[in-house]
Amino acid sequence: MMRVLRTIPYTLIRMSRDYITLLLLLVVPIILITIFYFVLGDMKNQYGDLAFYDTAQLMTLVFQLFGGSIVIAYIQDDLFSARRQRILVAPMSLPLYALSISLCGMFFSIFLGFLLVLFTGVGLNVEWGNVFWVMYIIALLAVLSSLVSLILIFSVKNIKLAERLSDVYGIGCVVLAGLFFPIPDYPVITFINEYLNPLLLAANAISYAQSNLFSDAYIYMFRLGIGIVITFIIVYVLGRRKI
Amino acid sequence: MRVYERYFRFVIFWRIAQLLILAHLWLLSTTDFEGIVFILLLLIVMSIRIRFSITKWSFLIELILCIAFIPYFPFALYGLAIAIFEAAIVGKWWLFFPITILMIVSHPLDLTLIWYSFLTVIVGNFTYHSMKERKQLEKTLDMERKEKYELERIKMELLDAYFEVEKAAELKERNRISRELHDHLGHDLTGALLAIQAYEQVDNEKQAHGLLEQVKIRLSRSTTRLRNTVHNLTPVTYIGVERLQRIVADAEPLFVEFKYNGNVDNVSSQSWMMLEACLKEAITNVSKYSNATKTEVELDVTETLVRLKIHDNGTVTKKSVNGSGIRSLQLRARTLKGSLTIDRQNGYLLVCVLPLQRRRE
Amino acid sequence: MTVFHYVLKRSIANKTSLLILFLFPVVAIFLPSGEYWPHLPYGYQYFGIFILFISLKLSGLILEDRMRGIAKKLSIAPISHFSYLAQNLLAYFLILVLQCLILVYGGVFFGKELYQPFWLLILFLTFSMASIAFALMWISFFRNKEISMLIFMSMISVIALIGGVLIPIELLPEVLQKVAITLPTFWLAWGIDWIIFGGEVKEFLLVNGMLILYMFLFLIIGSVKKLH
Repeated sequence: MMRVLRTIPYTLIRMSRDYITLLLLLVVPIILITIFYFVLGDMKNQYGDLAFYDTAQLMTLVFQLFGGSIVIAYIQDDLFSARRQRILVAPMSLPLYALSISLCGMFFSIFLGFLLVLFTGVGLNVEWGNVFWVMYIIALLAVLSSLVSLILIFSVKNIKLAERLSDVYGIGCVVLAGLFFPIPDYPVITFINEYLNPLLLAANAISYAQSNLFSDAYIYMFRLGIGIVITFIIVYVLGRRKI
Repeated sequence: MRVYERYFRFVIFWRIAQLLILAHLWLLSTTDFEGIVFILLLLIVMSIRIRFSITKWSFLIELILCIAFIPYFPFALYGLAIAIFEAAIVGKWWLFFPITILMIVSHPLDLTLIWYSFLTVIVGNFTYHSMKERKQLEKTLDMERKEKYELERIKMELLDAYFEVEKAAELKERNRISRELHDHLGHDLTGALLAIQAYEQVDNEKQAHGLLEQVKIRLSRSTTRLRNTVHNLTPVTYIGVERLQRIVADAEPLFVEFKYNGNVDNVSSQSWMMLEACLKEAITNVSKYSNATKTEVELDVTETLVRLKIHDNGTVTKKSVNGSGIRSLQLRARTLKGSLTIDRQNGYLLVCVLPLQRRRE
Repeated sequence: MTVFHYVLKRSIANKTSLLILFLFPVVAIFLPSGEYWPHLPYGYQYFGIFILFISLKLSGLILEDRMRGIAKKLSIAPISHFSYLAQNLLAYFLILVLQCLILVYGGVFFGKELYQPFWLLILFLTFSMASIAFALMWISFFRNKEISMLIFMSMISVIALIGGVLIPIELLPEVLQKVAITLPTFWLAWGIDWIIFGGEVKEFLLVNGMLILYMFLFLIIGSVKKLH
């Protein structure tokens, strides 16, 4: 147990030195949100708020969906390919180590989300409402994405395919949320967006909390929570078989 | 890698900087896409110039492009600086004058532009001369390198020739001995033998006495000849391990201890000369610089190599660089495919290791 | 044309690649149309980005050759660097031609409003050429396929935003509008506008000419012989 704990600082250092991930999950969203800041300017949405706020919030959440790729990369490297043999002979418990990298990945993803919230909130004056609630929701979203990635990596043999599927998960959520182009109002899609699409669940939880409708916000939060519980059970079952 | 590579890098850097200046001007101007078409075309010409070597007169392309685009994109005048630069780095700096006149004529006098093109022509001309000089230097360097290789080759040939001469001398000596033995000694000994046999058969006292006399003469002549021959064979100078011993003995005021083991006959004469030079150098060094009271010299000969170790108990650990004597010895050791190392950590220690060359058949 | 042959085979060797290569154009046909903007259905509007991605994915084969040392073996094989590159690029172009054909004439078949389908096809084809050349240049900067793809992704998301593909260029601030002109996607967007609103032929020629100029530029820079 202690031995696994001792690896955590190194895992975090490795993650903070992974410049490509930082570029993709931190620099790119900052650039994109800044461009949107200039593009949308003073445009208002139908409720009279700045349209840019919604966009910035959605963008911040969108990049949380891809945070699972961190977990995939590290689990793959340490447990399944490059360093597998070394980790196996290390005097520590493998499941615990897997848990620790997953938690680190989630933490890192949440941290990046926090930086984005900080940037949009302080730098671009986006109104986020209660920051603790926002961070809580972002944490839930990051955990859910990481769990989905874990399911993928445990259930799909080919790592490339797992990565692509996690991209499909992320992009799929974005597409279903209607960010690229309007999605037709089929009952199926509405149902998915209302109950399953984590992006919209998180976005709704944040925006309802912003307008003080906490009962609605809690509903969406619970739906996210249920998603986490279900995916965690699947990960637990699959992971025990695999590790 | 080419020596003047970094000049190319500088030239590329300058070209890109000039294009960036144009791009900046375009960003400030009210021109729409014409400017970007112009810059793109210049970029293409530039990348062609970097990738392939094209004719010296290719700066005319830029010149024509700039003149053609001036009506659409006023800042194309600044593009003329690119043409000036490209002309200057191939040595045609005079192009500065007609282009400047063109700039003054076609535009209300813009001092920044004139200053910019003046700067460009100076930088371009300077680069041209530096590159030219560099190329010249590189050529000289190549020549010297070639000469060095040539010398190296000649040295190897000389070493080979040395072997040949040694072998030839040995053969000649062998011939001389065998001729000497055959012509004189053999002849006399055979004569003496025959005379002895005849002496046994002869009954006449006087005749027998004559024969015996003859045998005596022949044998005494043979003995003299044998002595002469053997005397001729023995070299006047000492070689091999005796030579080393003599050097050690000559270093009288110093106390030098000499040990050797192994079959010293296997060591070739070049190696002996090398070892001798080492020993001399080391003893000179010890007597000159060291405060040693005792010096040990060890010579080990194994199946494949010979090692000479000279070690004194001096305490002078002055960090001195190796003198030219040691350096040339190291070079010689290397040509014999051996090595020579010096260590001053714990007294003065010189180790010379040479491989034993198999005698060439 | 051996290289050409095998590049073609390698590109469509496994089912996933085949699916990505030919399912997307079919899906893109059926994507809905926007209300005010874009004027073409979304599938057609975003096809430029798709072409960029596909060209990078395809030219990943060249990078793979370099990574695995095949480029070194080829450099002593009796085949010139030029011919190797040309055959590779030709094979990629062929695949992209097929996709453009599927997209444009599939759309015509299903009755999508494409204004001038033939010119649209021509525009997509020139853009494909520029984008393959761009991919070739891009991979010459990298030694690793994954990293090249990831950085490409981050760059494309920015380019798509300010290049007039995701949002109309008029919405951008002045400076960004000017910067956008330097991006090949701007010319694609302009070409699409021309196809919808019509205009002088000269304009369309300018758009295609610019794309071809970009192609030459990228080709010249990207065709450097690299043996890692």
